[in-house]
Amino acid sequence: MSQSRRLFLQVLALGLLLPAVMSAASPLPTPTGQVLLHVTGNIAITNSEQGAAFDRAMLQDLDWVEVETYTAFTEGPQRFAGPTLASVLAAVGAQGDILRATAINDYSVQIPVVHASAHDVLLAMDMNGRQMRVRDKGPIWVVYPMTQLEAEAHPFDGQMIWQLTQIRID
Amino acid sequence: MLALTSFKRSLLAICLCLALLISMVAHRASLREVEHQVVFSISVTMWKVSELVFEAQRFTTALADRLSGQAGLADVQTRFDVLWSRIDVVEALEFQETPLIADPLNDMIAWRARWDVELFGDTPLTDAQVIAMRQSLAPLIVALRSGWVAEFDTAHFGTWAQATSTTQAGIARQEWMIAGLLALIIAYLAAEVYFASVATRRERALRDAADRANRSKSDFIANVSHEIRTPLNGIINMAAHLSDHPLSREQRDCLAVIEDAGDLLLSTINDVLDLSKIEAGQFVIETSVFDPMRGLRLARDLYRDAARDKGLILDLELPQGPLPKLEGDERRVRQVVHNLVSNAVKFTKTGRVAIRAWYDTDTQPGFHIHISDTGPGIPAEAQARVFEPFAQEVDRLQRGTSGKGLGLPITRALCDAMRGTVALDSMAGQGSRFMIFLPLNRVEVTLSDRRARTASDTGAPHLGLRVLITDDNATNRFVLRKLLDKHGVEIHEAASGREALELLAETRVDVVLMDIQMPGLDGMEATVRLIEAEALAARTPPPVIGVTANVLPEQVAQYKDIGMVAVLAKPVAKPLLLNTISAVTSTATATRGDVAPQTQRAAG
Repeated sequence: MSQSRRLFLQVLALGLLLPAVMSAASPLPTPTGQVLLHVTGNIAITNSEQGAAFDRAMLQDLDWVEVETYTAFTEGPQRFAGPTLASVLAAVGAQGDILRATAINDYSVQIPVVHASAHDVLLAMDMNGRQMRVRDKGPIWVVYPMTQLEAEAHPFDGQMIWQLTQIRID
Repeated sequence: MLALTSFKRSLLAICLCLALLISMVAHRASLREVEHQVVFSISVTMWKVSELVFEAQRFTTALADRLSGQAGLADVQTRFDVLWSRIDVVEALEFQETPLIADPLNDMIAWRARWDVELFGDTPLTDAQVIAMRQSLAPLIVALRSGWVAEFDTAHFGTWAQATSTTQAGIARQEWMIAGLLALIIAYLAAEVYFASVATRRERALRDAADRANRSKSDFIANVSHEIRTPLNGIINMAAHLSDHPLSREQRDCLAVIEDAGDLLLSTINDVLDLSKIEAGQFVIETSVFDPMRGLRLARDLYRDAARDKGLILDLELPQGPLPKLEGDERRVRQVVHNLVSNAVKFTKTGRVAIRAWYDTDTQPGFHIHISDTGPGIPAEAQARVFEPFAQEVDRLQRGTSGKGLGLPITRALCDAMRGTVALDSMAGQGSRFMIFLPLNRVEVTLSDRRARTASDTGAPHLGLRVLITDDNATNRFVLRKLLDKHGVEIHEAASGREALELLAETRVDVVLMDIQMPGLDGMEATVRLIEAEALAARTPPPVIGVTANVLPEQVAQYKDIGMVAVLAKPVAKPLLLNTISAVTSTATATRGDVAPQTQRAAG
């Protein structure tokens, strides 16, 4: 990733972070659309008995960013858009070191919470300008932005879970 | 490579070996890494396919739940999408080469495309459609699973491993590197072997050249000694003959000088010849039974005058009772004693020279001779080198003395040849003691020994024999005739081999003295023909004694091979000539061949 792009993303993130941080202080609204993501476990802010539930609109209100990146599962550069993992964790007041991410098919992985800020991890929902369906690894794909070279080393393939529906904070 | 020193070359080789070692370790690590990757890759592939089968089953279950009303359309759609994504994942694995998987997979892709339209269409899904969807999927699941089981058994494991390895290029690079290093090491070894063989060949060539040079030197010395001995023969024998005549005092003194000078010259030539034989490894030790006492007494008598002239005492110390008779080369034993006594007398200015001899039967069985003097002694650092021919110490020690300088080297060579030792015990200023040990056998005295000794000791025996002297040189014939003519010998002469044969055809003789080098029929050929002719006539041929200056060991052996019973070296000493003639004639009637002294090659 080029230096200017990284800078651009940081500025963009900063610009979008302000409302996200403000909203994180307030209680979560109740989802009105189809729930795409459940967040449970050690969280401070909830909007249901199980924890926090997000529909697309709520996720779009968080720190929504768009990145162009490479993955080991795709050919060539891909444009992903979605809220940063950090903004989601902030929105639920997550307190813990490890989060367990689970997919529709019950596949699950552990992700260190520090990755969220350290690697600008994205909960991608759109790919190349189109909303990802389940068949396209939607509704949410955990994406670590990487250069082509970095992607070839497969550093975070294990963490890049797709068809994500649940996050539990431990 | 040749320009490098061997040290640098070996350093290079060690570096190559180290590099090879490191490469092999790295290669091993890479192989293990590849192995891990292959295992991982295979397990991932396995997992992806089994996930697809599992999702297909789950979709079937979702359809059943839909029929029973337990699942909504959205649930079915979600599971359909998940199945869709799993098909994509497996399709990305590229199974085109394996139809057992590719065929059901393609069927699934066609299946999902068909049902995608109906499942996400505007009209709600009927139960009949759900059942049809389930029934059409079931055989695809079975086919995929059985294809998968068939493909992924052990028989195909290697193919999978090959297809999934990703770092073949790196491995190949390392293997090339190892092969290259091995080639370098092999090239190095080949070069080492090649240069070693070149060096060996060069060394051999040099050695051959040195051997050739040494041989031609020995030949030259032998030739020169031959050339000197022949005229010396005449000088010494004529002097000896002349001394038997009445002479004035002055003439007798002159004759004594001639005889002394002749003897010295002869012994010098003999020493030089001995040394050249030693160097050529052609030393022959003759074995006979002898009384060591005689040689020791002779040595004492020989040097007593010289010692007295210098004011020295020369003692011969012998054990009580007689020394036993010994089996060995009497001439060589005497030569050793003479060399050492002559040296001791020569280098000692005042005091005493002692010869001690005894036969030891206990600790070191054999004949021991110690020759000690009160001379200047030899410093320890020079002791080892006095036995080397042409050593500087020898030159220095003998400077100012009329020595030949070969006495000690010859002494040691003689002792070696007789399997004995010569040791030196000396300190500068303390005198010297040379200790000779010869492992000679004792022999019980027999009657024949006694008789032989008596015969040789009488000095002027009356032989009463007929002797044929064969020599092309009139002087030589004259000398031999003079040596024999006071001993009752009937002399016949022949100037060539042919003449000798003609004479022998008519006249019987008791012994033939045969020169070897003669024009026309030479001595060897004449001897052969004589023995043949006598055999034809059914007669015993007269014993033939070779009389020649050509007495190298192999030549002597050759003469004896063709039938000569003894060989005398020119110039011939009178006692030896008489002894030999009487020996060959006294036994010629008994057993031929026993008389000739047995010869044996000296070791080394």
